[in-house]
Amino acid sequence: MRRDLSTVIWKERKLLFNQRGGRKQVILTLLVPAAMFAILLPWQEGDGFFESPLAVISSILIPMLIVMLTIPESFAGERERHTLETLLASRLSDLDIIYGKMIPSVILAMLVFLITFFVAAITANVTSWTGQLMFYKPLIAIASIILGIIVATTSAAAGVIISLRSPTVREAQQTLMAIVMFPVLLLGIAGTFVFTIEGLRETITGTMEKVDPIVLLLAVVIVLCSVCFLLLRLAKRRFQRSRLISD
Amino acid sequence: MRDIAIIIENLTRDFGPIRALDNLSLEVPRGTIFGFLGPNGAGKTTTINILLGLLEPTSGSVKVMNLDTRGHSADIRSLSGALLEHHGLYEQLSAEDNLEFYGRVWRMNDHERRARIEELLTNIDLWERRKEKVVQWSRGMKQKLALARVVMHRPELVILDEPTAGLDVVSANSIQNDLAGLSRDSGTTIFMATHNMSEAERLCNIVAVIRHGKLLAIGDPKELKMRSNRAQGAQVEIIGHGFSNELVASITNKHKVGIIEQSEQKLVLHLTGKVDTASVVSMLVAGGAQIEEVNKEKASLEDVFLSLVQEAK
Repeated sequence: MRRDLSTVIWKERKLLFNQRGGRKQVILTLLVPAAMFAILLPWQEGDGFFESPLAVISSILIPMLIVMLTIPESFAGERERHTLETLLASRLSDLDIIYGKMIPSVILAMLVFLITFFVAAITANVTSWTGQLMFYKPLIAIASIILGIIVATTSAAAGVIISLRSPTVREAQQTLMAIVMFPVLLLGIAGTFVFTIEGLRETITGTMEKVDPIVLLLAVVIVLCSVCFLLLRLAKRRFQRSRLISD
Repeated sequence: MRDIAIIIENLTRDFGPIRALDNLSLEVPRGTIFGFLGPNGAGKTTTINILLGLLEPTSGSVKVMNLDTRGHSADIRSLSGALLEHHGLYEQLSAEDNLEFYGRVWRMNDHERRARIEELLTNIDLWERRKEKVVQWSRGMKQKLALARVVMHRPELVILDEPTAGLDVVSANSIQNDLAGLSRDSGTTIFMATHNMSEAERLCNIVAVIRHGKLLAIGDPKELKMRSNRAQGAQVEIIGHGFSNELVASITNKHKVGIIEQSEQKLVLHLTGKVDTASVVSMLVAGGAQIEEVNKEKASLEDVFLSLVQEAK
């Protein structure tokens, strides 16, 4: 199992950077969020950057964006290039193919997030030097990394499910964008609306201050892990060679 | 049993209301090149997908290398190599990387993999171009590389779906030579779906003809042609002198012989039943005709195929 998994990962890694325009597209798409979260926002926030929730927000958005860019290629790309049938006719197991396609996307997403995370810390120190080296609070650092991994894996599982049924990469990307970004946007809009109402804002802020941040983090992690687990099971169930061949 | 690579028994496969395969039964002996002939939509690709365990039969059973496709599909895929409708190469990767990937898939160790890649690419004259991305290559070169990928792990069974479709004559001929060599040198069983009759006639030890998922005929291509000649008759062109009306009439009255063309120097006859060319020629000579040349036109596999398909309509 491990050997076959690493074989699929080897191929996916090669393809990720060898697709026509792939390397350029990946770099260009990474530059915008990376520049925003690694340079612009820490510069604006100054030494208050390490107290703000920006690191946690970037741990959600960056992995999600990277996975949304790469994972639609997984099955829709193979189908578009007529390589899927040959892959399915090989001795590789269903799980090796599914996980082998997810893991490189998750690793790349985490790599970009971690680079952004550390560059942001350097930017905040350079632009607002106080004479003492500043860094994230341990809880924020741990929460960001854990959330980053779970968000990347969950997005990858959702991406595989969509990619399995999409005839083209473009369609898979559009569907994934709509499905994954919709709850994020909805939360953002709801949050903005709630925080404009004076009494409600104070009630929520007061309640949040009373909640132990570790308990809050654990609750979020449990919810996200459950969603991730369900999506992985669904991806496994939807991966049927007979359906993929007949589609 | 041990000498049979594939056993298909009463195989039926439905796609909703459409019956793609209808009670198909056949056997493929080990070490043969088996031609699976049929027009478009006959059920060739469906059969291949079932052989590889990618599709389940609606009813009936299929055994590949003594393994039932229901429940042993992964084992069957381990023992076989397949070149399907598309070449399935990763065009943005190099030729070497394409073979490297499938070598890893088949769990070949590093040393064995490298040696095999060099051997295969050298055999098809592409070793010098191993670092090039496949996207730059011609269709024929890609197909050769795809065939190299299929045999990378030395499978016992090779399944091919229209391996020379869309190739020019030179490339197709080269692929056919590779397939003949593969069967001759390693005894690999080759199951090849095709609608290229000359290819089937040249390569295959056994051919099966299907239409609308039903088996129309199976056998040695020579045997099928002989059977067709006996049933359909043969056309004989005789060139010479002295083919008088009286002489020709005496022959046609005596035997089941039809006249297609008649002149003083040329006679074209259609022989049916038990009449053979030699006895007709003897009668003509005995009647005073002088024979310079006799050409007997036999049915080709294409004629056999067409007549079978026409009959089944």
